[in-house]
Amino acid sequence: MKKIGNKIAKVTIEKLVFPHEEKPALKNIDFEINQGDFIVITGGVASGKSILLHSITGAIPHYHNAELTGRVTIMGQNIKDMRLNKMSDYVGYMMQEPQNQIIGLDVYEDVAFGLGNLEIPLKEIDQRVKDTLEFVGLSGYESRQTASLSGGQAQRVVLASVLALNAPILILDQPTAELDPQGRNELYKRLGQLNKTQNLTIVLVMDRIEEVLNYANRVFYIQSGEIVKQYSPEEYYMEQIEHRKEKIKYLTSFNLNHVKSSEMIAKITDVFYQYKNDLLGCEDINLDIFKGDFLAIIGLNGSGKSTLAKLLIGLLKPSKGEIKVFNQPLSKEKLAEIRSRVGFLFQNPDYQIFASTVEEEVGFSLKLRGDVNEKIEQKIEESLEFVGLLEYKKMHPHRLSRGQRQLLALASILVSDPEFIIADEPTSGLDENQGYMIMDKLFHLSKNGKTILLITHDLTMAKDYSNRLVALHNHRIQLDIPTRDLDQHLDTLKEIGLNFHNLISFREVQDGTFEA
Amino acid sequence: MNEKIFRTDTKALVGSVIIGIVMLIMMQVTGRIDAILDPTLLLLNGTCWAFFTGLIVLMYRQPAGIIAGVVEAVVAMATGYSPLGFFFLFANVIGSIVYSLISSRFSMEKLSHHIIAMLGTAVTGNLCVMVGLIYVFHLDWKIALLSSSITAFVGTIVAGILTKSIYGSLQKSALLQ
Amino acid sequence: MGLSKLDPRTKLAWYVLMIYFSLISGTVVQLCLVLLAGIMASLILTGSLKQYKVVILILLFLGLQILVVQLIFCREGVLIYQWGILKIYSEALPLAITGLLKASIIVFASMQFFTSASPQEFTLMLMKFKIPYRFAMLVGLSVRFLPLMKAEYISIIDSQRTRGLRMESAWDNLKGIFPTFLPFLYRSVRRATETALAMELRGYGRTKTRTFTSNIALKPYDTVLISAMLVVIIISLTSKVLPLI
Repeated sequence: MKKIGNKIAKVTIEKLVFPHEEKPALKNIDFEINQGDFIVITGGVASGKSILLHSITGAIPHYHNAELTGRVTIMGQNIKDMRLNKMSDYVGYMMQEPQNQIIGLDVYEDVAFGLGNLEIPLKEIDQRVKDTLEFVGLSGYESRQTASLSGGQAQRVVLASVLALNAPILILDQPTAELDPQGRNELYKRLGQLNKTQNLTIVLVMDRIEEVLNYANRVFYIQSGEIVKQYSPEEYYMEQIEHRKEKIKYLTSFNLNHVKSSEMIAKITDVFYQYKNDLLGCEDINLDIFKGDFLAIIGLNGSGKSTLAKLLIGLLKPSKGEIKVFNQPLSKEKLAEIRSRVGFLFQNPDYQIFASTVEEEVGFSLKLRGDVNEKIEQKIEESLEFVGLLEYKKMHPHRLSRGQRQLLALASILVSDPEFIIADEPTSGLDENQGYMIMDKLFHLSKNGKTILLITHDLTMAKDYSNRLVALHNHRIQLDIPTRDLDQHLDTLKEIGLNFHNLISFREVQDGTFEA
Repeated sequence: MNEKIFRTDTKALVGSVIIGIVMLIMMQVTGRIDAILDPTLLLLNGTCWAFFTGLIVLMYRQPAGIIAGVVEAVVAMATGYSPLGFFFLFANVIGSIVYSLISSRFSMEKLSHHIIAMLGTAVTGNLCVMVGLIYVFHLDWKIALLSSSITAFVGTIVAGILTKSIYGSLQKSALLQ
Repeated sequence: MGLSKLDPRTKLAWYVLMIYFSLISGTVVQLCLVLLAGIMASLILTGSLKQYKVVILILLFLGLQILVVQLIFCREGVLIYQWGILKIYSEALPLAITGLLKASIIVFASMQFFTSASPQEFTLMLMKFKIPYRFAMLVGLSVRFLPLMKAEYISIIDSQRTRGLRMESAWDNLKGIFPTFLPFLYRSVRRATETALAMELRGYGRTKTRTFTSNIALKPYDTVLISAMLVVIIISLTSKVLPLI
């Protein structure tokens, strides 16, 4: 049991309002952070979690315009009086997208960036870079080009760059939202270790419930900009279990009763794909997708999942083999028609958003498909209603939170009423609550007869929602089973790095192995 | 220091580099379309150039406008993206300065403000290109003048309208706050 | 002596020299000599010309354009061919060739210079010219983000295509500019904002100086080379200007 020390920071925010907005983004915030605390912040979509972090790091009010009534002090210093580039003495901040936070061309240069700014002598920089890289498990990566890092490695480089500065408080915004289960596990283990052995204070916005609660000592639940409840990790765990149990019961019945349809949606025969740079995309792919399938394609990063999705929608052409969608080959002439019946949900909603209001954005999909009936407006409203964004229809899409923007992307594909929906890592970059929101919507669609192909490295979601699982490994299909038969294949899956054993939700608590 | 012209915070500096890269990529995209639709006048390319020169100044002021222009030209040269980057270097820098000087005198809320600022930029920028056409390619000055005038005219009108509407929606998006 | 051993300032002097001669040389022979000198320098210092392969096609296309324009509009020399209003004069071809040669030298020299040193060396060079580090370090940033953003733009196009956007003909591409450019712009502004924040929070611009992990210094041979090049330019300039006085 680690010891909790003295007060290190105090956050009192009566009100925080962004320009041109009436509703405050944060209000009635009042809490203290003690040395050695590991605080987890959670809450719904657009509840103000990231904004709270911003106001602890000084990004608000120094960097983002906002009117803050209140006072945030760290180690007795009011951060309002501190320049942002001096904040590294107090806090280290790791944001969501690692590639945006890497400044150096190679790993060494990036970790040394902050140290150089602090005018630390070169010899000491060398030593600190070496030590921090070792700590995050990237020894020997010094001269690696940062552009070639995988998501997990990039995340660890950012962590190293932040840790190298030795700030007493570490602040993280959904640090593992883009990582696969393996990467997530490793990162949290390191954070826990820092907190326990070096008494580093950690405040983070939670992405996934599984690991982090094993290390935390306080949980804040934030709603509409207000911390409405403070839990101990155990209490929060218990409450969530009850909530989840209900949900899983409901989902499982659907999975068990699924009857395979004979109507074919897509047929992939002997497909092989090689990228221009000779990289193998996938090989020997044979897959029949039937109407009503909620098919989850799982596999580690780089196993060929996204290649498969791009082949299905004709963004890539198979080097060998044939793909038919709705019984038609993906030929140039047929492609437009096929695409009008398929909806493709990308990982990053920002790759599509270009209109200046939410409703225009949704309407654009209809316009592209040449839909000119007078029901356009009604259709737009219906799909916005379905994803819960109707009240924001006049807003600029980029004012929405990341989770809401993903819901907007979903509305944009639903508006043209596709029969077949392909979702490529739709929950990546989202926290768990937001992720479940997207999945619940897909689940609803599936129940209403749509065919869903979900590509994911999130095994929990794959297991909970799909009725059929296809596992990819080294660019080939390793397994194609009804989800209800999952238990018979756990070992096979574990061999290819997909360990369902230790993620069955809340197992720790039920076994009594949970410790805080 | 005149705040309507200068801004040297990190957001503006980093923004200048990143929008400079966006400019580079879009110059390449429009250049490819021009090569098929109007290979000699390069109207799209010219408009794209004028639009970005203005937009960057509106977003991040100076020296961001100059930095973005230099990034665009230099990276274009170094990567072989657009080997003629050398000739744009001067146009980029001078056009950007002119835009700053004019736009700082207006509220930039009306379309006419955008058109006037763009006129200054398009004329000076195309003047630079014209000098290049005459001096390096030995083009007859009357021809060079005619082609530059057409590009400047189209650029002024189209890019003027575009900077107003796109800068407007950027402000609405709250991404610049 | 390898290219990497030379100080970037020496390379800059060479670049200036090449541009200067490309502009003042008038005859085909002079221009060919300048181009040859540039090519030789690359061959001796790096032993390869592979990186310049990409520009050959672009230069050929440019040459063709210059030729067509000169054939149609050139009015110097004697009339050698007439067909309706189309008049071709004898100077068209020589003018097109010298024009292309000048452009080639400038293109070649620019590429040679800007790829001759690492971003960090350029940053250090700028700092030797008294440019504050907050500005000088942007060189590295542009090299870092270019490949990332290129890939992102392609993903954006893919993403819009699945929504039904057509990108097949030049006309499609024209119509597709806004739906692809705008998400790219928004994304990039977001990226710039986040990157700048990450940099500030890691102490960017905290003081006027910072520790760099490498350094550059003029060696004796750099000084000799730069002086020699300066002398050449001064002699050439004087010989041009003196007769005018």
